Amino acid sequence: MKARRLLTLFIASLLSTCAAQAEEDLTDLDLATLMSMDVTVTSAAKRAQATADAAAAVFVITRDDIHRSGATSLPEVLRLAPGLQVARIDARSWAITARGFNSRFANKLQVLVDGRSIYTPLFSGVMWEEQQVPLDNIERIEVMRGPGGALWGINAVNGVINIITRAAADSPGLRVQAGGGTVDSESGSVSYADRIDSLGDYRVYVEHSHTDSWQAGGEPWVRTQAGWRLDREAGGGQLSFQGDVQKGDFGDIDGYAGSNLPGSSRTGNVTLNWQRNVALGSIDAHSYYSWADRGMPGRWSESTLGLDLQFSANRIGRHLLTAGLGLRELDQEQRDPTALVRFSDTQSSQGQWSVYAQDEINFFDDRLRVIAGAKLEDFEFTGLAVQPTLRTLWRMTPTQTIWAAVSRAVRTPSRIELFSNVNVLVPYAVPVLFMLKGSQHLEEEKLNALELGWRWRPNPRLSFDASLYHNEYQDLINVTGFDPVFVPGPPMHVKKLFMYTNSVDTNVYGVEAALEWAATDWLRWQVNGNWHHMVNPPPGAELSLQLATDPNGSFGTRLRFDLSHRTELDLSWRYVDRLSNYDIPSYATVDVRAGWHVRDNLELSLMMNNALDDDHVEFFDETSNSLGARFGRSFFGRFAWHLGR
Amino acid sequence: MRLLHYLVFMALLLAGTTLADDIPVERADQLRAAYLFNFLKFVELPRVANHSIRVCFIGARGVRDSLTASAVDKKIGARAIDTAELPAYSVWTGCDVVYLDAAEDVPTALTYAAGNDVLTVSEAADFTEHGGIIQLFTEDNRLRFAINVGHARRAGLKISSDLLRLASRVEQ
Repeated sequence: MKARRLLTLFIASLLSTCAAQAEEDLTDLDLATLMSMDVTVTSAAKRAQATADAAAAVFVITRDDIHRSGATSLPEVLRLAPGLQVARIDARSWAITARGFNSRFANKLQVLVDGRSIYTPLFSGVMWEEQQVPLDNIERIEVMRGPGGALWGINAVNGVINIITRAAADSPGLRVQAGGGTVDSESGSVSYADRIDSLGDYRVYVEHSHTDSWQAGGEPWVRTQAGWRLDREAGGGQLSFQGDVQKGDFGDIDGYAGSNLPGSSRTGNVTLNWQRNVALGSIDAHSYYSWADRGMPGRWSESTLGLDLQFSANRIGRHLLTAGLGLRELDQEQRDPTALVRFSDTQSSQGQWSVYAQDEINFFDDRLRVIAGAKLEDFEFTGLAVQPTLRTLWRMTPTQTIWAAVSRAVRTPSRIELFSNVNVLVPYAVPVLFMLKGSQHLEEEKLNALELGWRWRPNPRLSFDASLYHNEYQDLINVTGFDPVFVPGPPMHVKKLFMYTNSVDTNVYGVEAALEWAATDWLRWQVNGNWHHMVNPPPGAELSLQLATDPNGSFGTRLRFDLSHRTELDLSWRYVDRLSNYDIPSYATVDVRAGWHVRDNLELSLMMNNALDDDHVEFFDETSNSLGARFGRSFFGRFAWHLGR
Repeated sequence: MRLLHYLVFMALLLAGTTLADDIPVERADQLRAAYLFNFLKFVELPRVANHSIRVCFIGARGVRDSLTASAVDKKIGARAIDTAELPAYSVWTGCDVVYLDAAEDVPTALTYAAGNDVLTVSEAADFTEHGGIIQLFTEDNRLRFAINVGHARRAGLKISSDLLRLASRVEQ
């Protein structure tokens, strides 16, 4: 009797909530408001959806944002996304992560360019100095904080950054950019795009940059990169064939664990993407081959061959189904037998496969959505990993949406953690043999995450986005020191062993918020902040490799002025809290950019970074065991000219 | 008894998820329909004032459904809005506005525009080069539009300066 009454009550209340609320009708909005709405984002559900409908903490950096920021490199652009920790170590090195565990070798972020993963299996992180996508070629960057393992696989533990480049047809003609400044002393790029009717739309580019070291007496970093993109119809769908080659030289003696070979890198990739609509849905195929040869550690070379296939079904009743599979082949080799950083396997290769599926079910006239998905992945050393996720999105009112998610994600051990075999004999009175060993018995790191988010758009010009998260990490890999062992000999010496072990469990919780206000047609204001707390900070390793160098919080704001039809002024201010690990104090800095459209096809801009000239250090240089560079005021001027449509 | 109630509840829930009589309209289509609705507000269409505005669609089922649903109780001035499906190769009499799906053979379809005073809108590439009036496109993750006033004038349409001001490109 009671059960029946409860049941009736439950159903009645559901029906009444349906009836009471009206669906948001876009035709009620004026055109100027409609023109300010983001059209699509693909990272949250791996298929196109409106940004407002993503059941995840997503932020889209648009072409215009990149242009108005005056950024000259990809890491600088990432500062625009709320919730990302971006710290500059020196002229070319950066420490970038989301939601904690920052380090030059931060390993909890998955980063992709047009579907190709750009992290290196050497340390499961990104070599930002190698990864330069020409900024003018970027269509948008989707930054998703939080675990993305169910769709994006291993390593998408704290977030996914998806960099999408422009189609060749979107940037026709000849574009020339050149600039110089006090630190980025010279840089230039030329790109040309056109159409050959029998071949398709194509774009080719070359860019070169020379950046002085911020460290006194340090050597500059010189980079050259070239690439192409060809878009054409094929097989009933759209085909995109692209690739880049890059060479970078930095003369700094990069002190990675004392290795003294000159730093240099030669990298490249070839990518083929194909998309086609079929009767039941759409098919996406990505395949790529990427390689990197680096001076260190020990003349390292690696290559990755990847293939991904995804099928996104059209709506069936209330369901939107997505499924896919992926294959990877990774090869690595270390060619210098005398290098300090050694591996127990000088050459190795692994194959990996993964499958995933996701269903999005909507209820009550699309007011409530439930998304369930999981990815199953096989990694050679740790076996099968399952990464499920359950998300829900509820459009409470036409102006407010809340979403919640429960997910699990894993990070598999990197080459260094598996195969490290470093032996250094230090000639004390009694010699000490320091050993750093990896372990092939390492388990994957695990994350169980709970997230909650709120989006509010009280009027068309104002939007507010907040997210809360609680992350439970298990089996985090850290360096553990063992007690020294005395060996009587001969020869007499002391052995001091360090080993990579799954030794850390910790919880992190935090909040991120961002507000954007298009105050007038010529003034836009954005403010964002984040705060997080690690409950049991992992102990400092005896070697100088800290697991997590994070500020408690950071805060930033931007103002965009369109002073006239032809001139622009952009101001940004940011504050980052202190890094207690290394006693690096908190800092605040201001960047200013002024732009002048001399003609429709010619633009001049001048950037002043750290305008207040408060010399500040942003991070610690883990490879040379000293503080990172001190950044003071710098200037950069650039012109951009284009010929053609 | 409790088990029976539980089973009934589960059956109702499952029935709810599979029996969908309302097909939710995709947000992308809603956005285009909203732009189209706004264009109607800013373009003077040369038809008798008390007739409803007829918007014909070649393809673009999603946009058509979205506009039909939203325009149910709305008027532009004193005129209601009517939507209709227009088969690909048929004459355009009776249409005030024609929205062409980018996937259709747009250059051929536009040949039917000659002689009819019709506002043409599409997301097809090079739409205005082939004679179209308003071209929709995505730029910087936002939906934008370009207007060819020459073609508009030839179709006897007057476009408000408010709309021209918001256009990304105005072609003569």
